[in-house]
Amino acid sequence: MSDTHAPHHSTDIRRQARRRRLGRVVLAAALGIVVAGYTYGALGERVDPAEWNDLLPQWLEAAALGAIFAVASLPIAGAIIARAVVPVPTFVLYLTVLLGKSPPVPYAAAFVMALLYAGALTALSTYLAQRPERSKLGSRR
Amino acid sequence: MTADTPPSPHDAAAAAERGRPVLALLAGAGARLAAGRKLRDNEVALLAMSGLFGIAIGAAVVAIERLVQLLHQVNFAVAANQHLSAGGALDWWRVALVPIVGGLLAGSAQALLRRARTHEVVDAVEANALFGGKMSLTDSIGLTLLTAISSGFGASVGMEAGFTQLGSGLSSRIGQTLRLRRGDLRTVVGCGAAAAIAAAFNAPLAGAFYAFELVIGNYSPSVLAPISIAALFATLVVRGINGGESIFALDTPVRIAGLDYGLFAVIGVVAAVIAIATMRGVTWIERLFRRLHVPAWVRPSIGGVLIGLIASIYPEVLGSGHGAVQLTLDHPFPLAILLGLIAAKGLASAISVGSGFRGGLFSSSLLLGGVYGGAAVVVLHGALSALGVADGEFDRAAYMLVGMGSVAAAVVGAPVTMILLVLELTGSFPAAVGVMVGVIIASVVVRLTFGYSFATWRFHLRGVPIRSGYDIGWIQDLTVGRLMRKDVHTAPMGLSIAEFRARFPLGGHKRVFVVDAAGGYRGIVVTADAYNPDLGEDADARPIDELCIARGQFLLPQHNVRIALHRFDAAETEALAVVSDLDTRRVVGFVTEGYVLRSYNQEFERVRADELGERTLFGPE
Repeated sequence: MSDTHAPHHSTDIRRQARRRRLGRVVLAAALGIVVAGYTYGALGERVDPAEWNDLLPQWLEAAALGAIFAVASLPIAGAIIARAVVPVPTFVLYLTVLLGKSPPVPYAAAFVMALLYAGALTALSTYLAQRPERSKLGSRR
Repeated sequence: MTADTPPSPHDAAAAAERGRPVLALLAGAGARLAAGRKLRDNEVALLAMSGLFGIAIGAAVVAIERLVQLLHQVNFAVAANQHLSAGGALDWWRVALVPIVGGLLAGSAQALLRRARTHEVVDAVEANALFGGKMSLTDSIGLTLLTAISSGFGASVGMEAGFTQLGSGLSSRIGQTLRLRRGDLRTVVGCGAAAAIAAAFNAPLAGAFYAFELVIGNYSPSVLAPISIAALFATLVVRGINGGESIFALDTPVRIAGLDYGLFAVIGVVAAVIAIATMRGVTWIERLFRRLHVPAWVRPSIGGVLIGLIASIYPEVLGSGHGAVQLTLDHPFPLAILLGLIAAKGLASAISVGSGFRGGLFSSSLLLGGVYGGAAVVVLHGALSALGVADGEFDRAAYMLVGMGSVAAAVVGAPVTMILLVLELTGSFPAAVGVMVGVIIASVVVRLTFGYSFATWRFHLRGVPIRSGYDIGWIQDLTVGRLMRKDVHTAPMGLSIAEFRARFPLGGHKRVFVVDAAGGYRGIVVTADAYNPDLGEDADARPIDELCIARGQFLLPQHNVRIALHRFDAAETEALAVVSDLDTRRVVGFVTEGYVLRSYNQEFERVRADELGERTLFGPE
């Protein structure tokens, strides 16, 4: 057997590894949907459309943030790029929400809260992508 | 002291000596009543007691609700008649800071309580399933106060768990003081829970069926009257103090058409998914908090930071959510807000429970389900109108009620309770029938795919093997120590067969236990085997050890009847020694398989008879 061949594992081990990988993808996707839904609702809390200055439709902004978060949460090499992106739109979107809702949050407090939102989402995605696996048998990493 | 021993004046004196005058009074009263009229054998006395429990617990629920409302008024500056979660304009700094302060308070209080009482708090379901209805009143009061602090400082939890704990804990304590039988004690624990839920929702039927479905674990005529009376009296007290208003009000009657019932089934399926996600979410977040490597008492305040962040955008997540349910019933919010609120409430509840605030998901699941039902109407309206399948007219309130009942039934694990709750809250039979469709589908989907309610899921994670309040604790209580015979006869190792025959003549003792020099168990010799003619002529000089059976097979006094029967199967012998402990293995008794089986059957029959309310059904006690 050459070195390039993957080591032989039993069907059960491979099935477990597949299930584990699928579980992580499903969890990342589910959390991405939660982030998107949460953000979509938050954007809808803003009261004065003249001050929104959105680049995209609200639903698209929310969906994009959810998708970026989901990718950032996956244990793949490219996730680090998504993780680098997550804080900026999160901070900007939630700053507009906190300043635009009724009653608005004062600027300094809104700034800190938006930073906390960005920090929390980035930290969570980092944890999800980098958490140790119980077993690497059968995985291709 | 056993549960069947009648109370005596001596107990009253002992309780008074311990500085518990109320318990002393009860014990004294119990002793007098037991002596005179045999209180515990008197069904009318049990009914009267249930009514008194209902009155006391109804008043306690109102008092705690007012305490929590007062905390909301002080902490969040809400009006006296306003729900915290009703979405009013709250000061941003209060919303951000109060949950953190609440987290510190709840965390510190829990740490202090844990120092004093290291064991897990036993709730009504666990008490009835495993401990014959025995609960600690001190633990229950502590947990109720923690729940009040959590809810009062904005954690996204309801008070129902606290009310149930207090109600059942109080009933159990009084029942233990009066030395009620195991079956009756379980019933009064159910009375406490029923009264608490009935008072919390102003809904006696829902309260009673909550007790049947969750706390007692089944319905039988013997428990119907006491539980119904407790729920009814608690409701009457609440109505007397607060008035007869329902906690949720509908402006217009519910309208349901034929197509709606099919859609309610779909609502039920998605409700099951939401319920499972919420229950798993709590566990997942709890695990995340444990990995933070910070002291347990700090975790709720970290949870408070996150709850404050969420509530800064969605103030409806603060507290139990009853105000938010009414708000969403009254106002047709856009889809974006509804979807956001589902995510926000789910997250806030999971963070609250997962970080260490105390409280349950009963109220949270009502809000989650209600908002989900509202969102479903918006989606259905758009989709079906676009397809031209229907005219797109749906009764929003009906769908909200179905969503509410379905998610709550799946989370709480009490489908009939939820159907009756909707019936009592709305007074609408069509709404109750609609909710029934969603509730049944959601319950079946959760049972087939997940298999737990939130309470039983938590038991499962703790390794407690119970699925409801159905009594399985009697098996734990039926121990080898209770069943064993103590007339043990031993012979030392190395004793010759001839000496053995001299000491133990045929027709005397049926079996003898062989022990080593230190008195440790080595095996059993059946006396008849020592007299077997097939042993040969040289048998007299051979050591008795050669005839030992069941070597290394023994039981401990604390083993229960189930373990004992497994050991008999494995050892393939009709008697097993009972040893003091695993180190010294001193023989303290023995049990036979036949006697263990007979005791198991008798106890099983007694439990069945208790359930049916026929104490003499299987012969006199």
